[in-house]
Amino acid sequence: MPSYFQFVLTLMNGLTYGALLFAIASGFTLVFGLMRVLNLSHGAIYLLGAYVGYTVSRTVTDWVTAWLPALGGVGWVAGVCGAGLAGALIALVLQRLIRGVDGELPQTLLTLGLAITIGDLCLWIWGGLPLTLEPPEAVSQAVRIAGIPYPGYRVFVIAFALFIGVALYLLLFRSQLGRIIRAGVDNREMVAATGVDIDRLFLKVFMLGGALTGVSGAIGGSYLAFQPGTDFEILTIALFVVVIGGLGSLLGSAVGAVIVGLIDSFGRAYFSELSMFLLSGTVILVLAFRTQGLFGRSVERG
Amino acid sequence: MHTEIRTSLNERLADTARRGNRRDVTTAAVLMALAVLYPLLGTTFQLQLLTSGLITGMVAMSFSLLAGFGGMVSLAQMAFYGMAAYVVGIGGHDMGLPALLTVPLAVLSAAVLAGLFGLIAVRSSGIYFLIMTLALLQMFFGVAMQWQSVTGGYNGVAGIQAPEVAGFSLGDAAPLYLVTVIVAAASYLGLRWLLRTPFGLTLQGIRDRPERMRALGFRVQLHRWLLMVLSGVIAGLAGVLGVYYHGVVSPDVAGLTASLIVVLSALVGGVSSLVGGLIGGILVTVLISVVSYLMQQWFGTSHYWTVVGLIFVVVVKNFPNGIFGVDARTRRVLERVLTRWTGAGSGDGARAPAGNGTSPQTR
Repeated sequence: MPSYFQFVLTLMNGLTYGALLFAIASGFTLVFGLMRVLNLSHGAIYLLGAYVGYTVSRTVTDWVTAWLPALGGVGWVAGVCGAGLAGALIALVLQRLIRGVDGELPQTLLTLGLAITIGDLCLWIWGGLPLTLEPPEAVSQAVRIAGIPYPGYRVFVIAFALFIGVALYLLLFRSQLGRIIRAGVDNREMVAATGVDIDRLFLKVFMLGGALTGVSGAIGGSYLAFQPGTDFEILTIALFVVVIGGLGSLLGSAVGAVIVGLIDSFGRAYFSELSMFLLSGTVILVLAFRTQGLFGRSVERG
Repeated sequence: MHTEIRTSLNERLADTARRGNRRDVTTAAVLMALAVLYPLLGTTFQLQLLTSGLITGMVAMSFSLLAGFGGMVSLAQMAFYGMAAYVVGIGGHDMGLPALLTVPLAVLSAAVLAGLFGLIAVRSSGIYFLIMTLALLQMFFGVAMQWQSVTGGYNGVAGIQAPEVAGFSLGDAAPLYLVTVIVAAASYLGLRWLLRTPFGLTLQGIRDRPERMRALGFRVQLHRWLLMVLSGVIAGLAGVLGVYYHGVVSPDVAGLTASLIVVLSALVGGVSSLVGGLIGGILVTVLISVVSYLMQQWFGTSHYWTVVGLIFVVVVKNFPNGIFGVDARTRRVLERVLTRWTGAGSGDGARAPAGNGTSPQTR
């Protein structure tokens, strides 16, 4: 039954993509929720993470396999960590740049300039050919799902997203830092008035978002090829996710990610030319009836 | 009572508008004369640079129109430009329709697209408006990329022939340049006139005090929507000129770099000034050309976007009101001095910052 086969495969691909999108969109939406700054260099950080992950992973793998061939997978882990570090570093630079700028709109526009610079630097350093990272054997064995063999790495991506989701939930709803962040989302001035250094708080959230995005770049780049232009694609899809789910809402970005992942996957499989129409149509439909997205609160705020 | 308030408000706004009037007319006249005479001395390369700059400038002007006069910072302008460019490309090149048909159709399509986008976007404001317009721009990009059978996908439509006007082919540098100058100047003057009418003054009132204007009975959403359509027309005109200038149209017109150029041009010229958009467009086009040349000379690389992106960051960080937009504090000092000198001068209390980085000048 090839159609059943295709359906399950498309469904699984959609869920995997949705899982990755959640990891990408959660940092995006968190930063927006706290500072009302839309980080337009989000896609560029993803791409940079993928490239850094690629280089670090290859270098370390070469070193390690020369001494201990059995530990070849360490290179990939190092690549993922390097990607996270690169993402956090860019976020640090970005936050320093933004700090001196007054108003959410100029701050958002500023991130556009950095997005272009990072994108062009990546092209400069790594060239224009599509690349992928090589995940270690341990996570890339095929598994059988509903009777169909499925790449184990994609199941790993889902597990990764679930882990990120739980970790972010615990951080936001069960820790002191999370309480402050949530209070900051509700009323920034009031939190600042209680003595919280809002600049430092923003820096933490921004770097967390950057690290998460960088890591997602390496994780996603291990099964989706990346190249110049991927930055814009990722920014687009992350924006669609948070617009559907509601800006600033973690639950919203989870639901939005699954919706967008499934629509994209089924659109590409069954109506290849029109998948963007389907995706855009969904975004417009959501906006037409709920301007604030599915889980967002009032849009006119702020 | 209601009409009384309305009239006095209009008069007050009109008075503010009149003040910047004479200086603008002189500037425009001098620029126009220089622009029309330029082909006598300029090389083909310079003419092409100016043409390209003016086309960018028109899109920047449509951006400034929304941002400076409606308080709406839109990243979707290149989608309207792209819409018109694709209609000319697909209609003229793929379907073989005459330019007399495709050009009006292209501008109309851009206006319709702006109208559709506007239906969604004008309901939000501030940063949310920017997000909506960015999402819409990306939809346009995605559809242009994926709908291969119509748009040609990644490669777009190439080999688009420019039509002839009065025996001169717009494929040549000088005729296209002159037509561009005329269209840009006409758009600018048309917008200027429009912004002086009660419609335009209402728009500025809405930008500064939306709640008050709503309370006075003005239809805020409708005005915002009309402004969006108008900006679509201007960007669409630029799209027609742009597609004749380049001869190709691809999804890249709606990419992030294209939008960066538009925003940079508008910022350099000053978001609150329409003519600033045109000047900014030329300056930025020349700047990019210079940066590209220098990168080639000094580093032997074609990666000039790295530098242009950083320049953009510096401009946003340090000159949020642009080169021609004086910042609010300087303006206040200047106005105080001027009021003392002229003795008269009406009160300035009605105006307040729009609070979104675009200073509320009336020019």
